[in-house]
Amino acid sequence: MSLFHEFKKGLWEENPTLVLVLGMCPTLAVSSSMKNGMGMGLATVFVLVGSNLVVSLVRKFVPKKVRIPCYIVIIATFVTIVEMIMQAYAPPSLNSALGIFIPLIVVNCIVLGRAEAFASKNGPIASILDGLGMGLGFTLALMSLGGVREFIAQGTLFEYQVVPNWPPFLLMKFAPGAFVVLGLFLAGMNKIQMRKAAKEGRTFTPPAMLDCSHCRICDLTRED
Amino acid sequence: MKEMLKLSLALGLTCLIAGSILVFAHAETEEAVKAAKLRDKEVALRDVLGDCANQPIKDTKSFDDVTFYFARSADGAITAVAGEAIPKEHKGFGGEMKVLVALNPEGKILSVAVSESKETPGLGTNVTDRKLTKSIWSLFSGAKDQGEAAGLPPNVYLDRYTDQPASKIGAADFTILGRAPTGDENGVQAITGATISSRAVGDAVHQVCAAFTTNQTALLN
Repeated sequence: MSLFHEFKKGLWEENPTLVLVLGMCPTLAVSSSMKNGMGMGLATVFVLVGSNLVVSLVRKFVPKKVRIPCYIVIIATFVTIVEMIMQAYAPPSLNSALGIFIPLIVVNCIVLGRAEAFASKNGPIASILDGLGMGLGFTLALMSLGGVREFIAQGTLFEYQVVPNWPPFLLMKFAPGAFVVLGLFLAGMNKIQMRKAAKEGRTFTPPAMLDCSHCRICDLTRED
Repeated sequence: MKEMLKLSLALGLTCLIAGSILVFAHAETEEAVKAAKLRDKEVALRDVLGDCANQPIKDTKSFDDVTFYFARSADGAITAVAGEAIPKEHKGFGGEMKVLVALNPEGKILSVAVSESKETPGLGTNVTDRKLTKSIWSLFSGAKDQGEAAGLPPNVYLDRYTDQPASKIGAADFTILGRAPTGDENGVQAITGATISSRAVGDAVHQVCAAFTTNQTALLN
């Protein structure tokens, strides 16, 4: 696997939101507008890269049986430091835009999922690229979802009014709209993959080893 | 037994190292965080009180859990007062909120701004954030966005308090309503989908107005 592939896969083939279906909670909550989506996505990229790097560096020292609690401690520490640094040194505009999302990243499955599935088994450079790719894929997914929801709800994109006097459709701004739009996106994604596979003369299956039974986060006692 | 010891040690060591890093990081950034918060407060006060000859952040008095900041003209006379309160009865949705209410010495509300809040972006922030509505065409045509000229950017909810007398908002019968107030009703309409945030801001504004009216003589002298 070339290093570039590690980066590229997070953007489309193994997009964490639309293919791996990880991190659904923050996705549904934060994709209410494009600006929020971008803010959350960029903050997550930073945390993903950092935590992947740290987990990859300590992977030989952490005993297998307590690896999950250790990873959680590492991720939470990293996020807390990022929050402190942002509050202290970031310009007020950046802080007010991203500040609320930082504490939410700790509970984002993507971070723990990638630490367990990838960073704990690969070297630092590959882990950094994986984190970068996954984070950017997450950002793109959030921004597209946010764009659709924001536009249908208010007629704005990135808080710029595109269509004046748009009748507000508040359903899109809240949870029900989030579920509906996300469902349609997932269906669309599968359709595209199926069509592409049919054209290449094979049947489409979701990437192997990525479904729930292979996740292993819930299976703490396994050592392999 | 030996394995359990090894595992506990590994986990304990991770937590110890993480904890030490956090303590160190906190100590290093504590001063900078305080300075940043002070700077934000100064900006908020300047937005709400306008230009003045003194430094409102240092010119304060407290009454009934409300901190008042004074804006004075060059001869020391009070031009405006800003009261800052934390909602007590109706707390903010996401956590602690601090609301600044600017009043003139006659007891009329000049403006309301939220200096600290953690409300949900896109929902609660419709109540707390003041911003200009931007049109995408203005990006292309380079035209001025609406409302760029005068003072504070607009906010539908917060502007409902402007020009109201503090004696009215501070009265015991002030409530937050789900619709526009009719006749003599003492209330302000909330924002759909942000009722809790609206109530929290209303609670804080009510506190400031009540404290102002009760202590008006002591404040202005």
